[in-house]
Amino acid sequence: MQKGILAGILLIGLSASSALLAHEKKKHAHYEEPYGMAGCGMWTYAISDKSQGAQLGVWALNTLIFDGSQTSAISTGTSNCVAARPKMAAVEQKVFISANLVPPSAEAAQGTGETLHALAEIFGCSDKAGFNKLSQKHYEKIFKVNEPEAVLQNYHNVIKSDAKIASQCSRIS
Amino acid sequence: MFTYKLGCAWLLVSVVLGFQSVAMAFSAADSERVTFNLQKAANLHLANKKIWQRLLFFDERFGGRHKSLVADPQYFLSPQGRTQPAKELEATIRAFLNQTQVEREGQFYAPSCVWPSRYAWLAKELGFKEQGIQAPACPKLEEFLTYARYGKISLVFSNYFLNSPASMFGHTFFRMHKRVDATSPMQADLLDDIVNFSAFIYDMGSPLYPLKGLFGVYQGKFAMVPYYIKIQEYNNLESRDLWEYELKLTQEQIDFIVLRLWELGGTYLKYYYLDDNCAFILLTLLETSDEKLELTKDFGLYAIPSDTLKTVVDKNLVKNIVYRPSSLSRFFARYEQLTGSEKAIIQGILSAKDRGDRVTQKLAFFDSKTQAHVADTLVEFIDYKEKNIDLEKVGPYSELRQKILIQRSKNREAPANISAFRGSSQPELGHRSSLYALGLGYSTQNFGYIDLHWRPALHDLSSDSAGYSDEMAIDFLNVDARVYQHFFDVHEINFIRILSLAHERDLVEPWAWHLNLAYKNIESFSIDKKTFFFEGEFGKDFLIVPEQRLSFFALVGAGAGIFWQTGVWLAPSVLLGLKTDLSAGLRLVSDMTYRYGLQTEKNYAFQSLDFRTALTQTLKEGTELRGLIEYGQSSLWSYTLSLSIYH
Repeated sequence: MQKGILAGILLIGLSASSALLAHEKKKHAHYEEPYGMAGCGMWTYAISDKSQGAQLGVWALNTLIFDGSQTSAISTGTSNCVAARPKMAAVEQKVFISANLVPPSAEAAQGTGETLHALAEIFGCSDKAGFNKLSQKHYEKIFKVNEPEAVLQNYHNVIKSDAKIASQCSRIS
Repeated sequence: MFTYKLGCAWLLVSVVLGFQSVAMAFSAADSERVTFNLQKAANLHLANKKIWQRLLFFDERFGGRHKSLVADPQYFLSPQGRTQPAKELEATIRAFLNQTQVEREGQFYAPSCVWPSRYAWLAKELGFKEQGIQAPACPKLEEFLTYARYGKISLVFSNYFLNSPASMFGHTFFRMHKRVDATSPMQADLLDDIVNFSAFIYDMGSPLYPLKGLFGVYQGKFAMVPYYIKIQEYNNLESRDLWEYELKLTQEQIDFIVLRLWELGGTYLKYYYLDDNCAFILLTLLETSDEKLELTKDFGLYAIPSDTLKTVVDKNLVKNIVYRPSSLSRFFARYEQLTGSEKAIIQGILSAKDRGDRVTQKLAFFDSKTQAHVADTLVEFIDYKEKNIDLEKVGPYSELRQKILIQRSKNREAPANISAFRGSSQPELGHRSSLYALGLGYSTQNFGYIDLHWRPALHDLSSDSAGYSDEMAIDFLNVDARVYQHFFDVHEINFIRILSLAHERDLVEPWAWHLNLAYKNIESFSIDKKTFFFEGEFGKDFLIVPEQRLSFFALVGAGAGIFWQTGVWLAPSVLLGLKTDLSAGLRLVSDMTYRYGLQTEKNYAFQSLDFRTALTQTLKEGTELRGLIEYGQSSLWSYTLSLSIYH
């Protein structure tokens, strides 16, 4: 009886403590998602913390961008999370916007910021000051809907509507 | 005697001759070129060279434990490759010269394309170019190298976050700075890559997950992802400051590391939470770029990220340090720059819980600068509170945020400059993780004693808080033992103790909490007072004098434990205390725990009072002098003076 209670206390104590430690460490350990590159720590904790939005994002990334060609990579050691990196460069815009919706919105409203700068680079826009002003001026139009594909499309449209800026953005079609 | 020795000598000679003939029999099958290179490798003792051992990920700790950290058999060309570097070298040379293709996921590749860093090193050592040996084309590798052009590498450390003592251990990864030139003129910090080593956990929901991590069940793998992913994860989602340490590496070293990454990308190591974890593995990766670098051999059983960071700094490998504030730090920075009236505006908005339109109406009354400062601070607060990293999640402030930003976008005022603010102290200044202390003491009951104290990790309230938080403590296996004249006593063991005393700051109001799984003396009516127990409390910490960091804390909770002979006890508990800096380097921590409990077997009620006051003076870096007064455990007073070293 005593041994049982002792074991119980030990178990509760250890579980609680290690659960807490694990909760912290969870953030370092990355989820193995059955989606190839997305299972390489791309979305990590963000995925588990969110509901359908995140799953949708992963699915979208996978089926629309990687042609659904990712096989399950659960600990078979066959997914190569280093070699896969350059493949993302081809779809940098989509990936960037999917992963970053909040910082650019605040920065666009402020008319300056690091994420805005990165976005300008991804669009191939050399006139950073012009890009910032454009983002601020059309903030409401660009971030009307909080959805990555829409924001990306809106940005393209807004840039194209300004001939001067558009001429300096090499990656806007 | 003589005959015996001669007998042994003959035996030895015949064995050697026998081996030689066997060896020659094998080498007859090799081409001349292979034989030549194997011989040259033997002459140069390449199998014993540090770089070769490191290329195979052989562990240099414990005096050179000869086993590779790589658990994947496909990483080795020889069946004994994992334990015998010489055999692996032989198999590698053969493979490179014979170019016997290897299969990977249904495709075939030349071995020099699968192990390019081994090839690069061997080609140099053995002089392949001079021999006219050419490497075959590696289209996939070339494609990768066309992309992966880096000019700098930084070691990035994610610091602790609010109310999370375990986060003080930190985490490290590499930032690979993309080279900027005519072919790739694009430059943005966020668009650089990071290299991370971590466990690939397929059953996150499993309760066994922490144990599996401890015992190496999971695979550890390298991954390369964009930096903005990590910034979102650490800075914005977890609200941790990032500290970047730019490393002094030549372009040649960086290029070699990139080849290593290609080699390691497809393989895996066993991931041990304590031992071969992220931080340690990153150091081993650095070591392969330079034979003279000695970064890992002094680490013992475990390597905590903050310790590995210190090693890199101490070895003079750091060129530059860059700070990247977390979401919470950015909020504190903005809020603390506001004027009193600006702060009042924000407090008003949040307490009124007005709808977005009402808020923008109110704000419109103020001048554009005030509007900008208030809006920027408020948005920073919302993003912190809601852990906003993507807007698809809808929170209570979503509508307010959007309305404020629309209004903000019409205001040309630039955001306030917050670049001087530091939300945490530089982590490389922190003390090392293990504590060893020796002291002398006197107790009213048992008189004089020698005090022995050891703690593998990590930090308590009395420790020097430079590089750490002064509001959090985490003890892992904290052991204190006392040697009296006639007996030895285990005074206290804290298996795991976690304490977080975050106080209210700028609208952020955390709870304080405490957990302790321990073994020690507790007052009771029974004869034996040693108890093994678990206790938890929560409450608040109040900062009274910020300049002295004087705070007072009060927590309530409960505990349960067992006295060996007299059974189980349950008790609500109250923890009260205060901590303060008395002067630079001198800290006072005083706390008291009162329990009123029930001993279930004998149905006795009991009270216990533990009281501790510790006065700690930092001597030089990593050394402290501590005076401890304790009361408790059957009205026993004890006084200890000890010298601690962090190592």
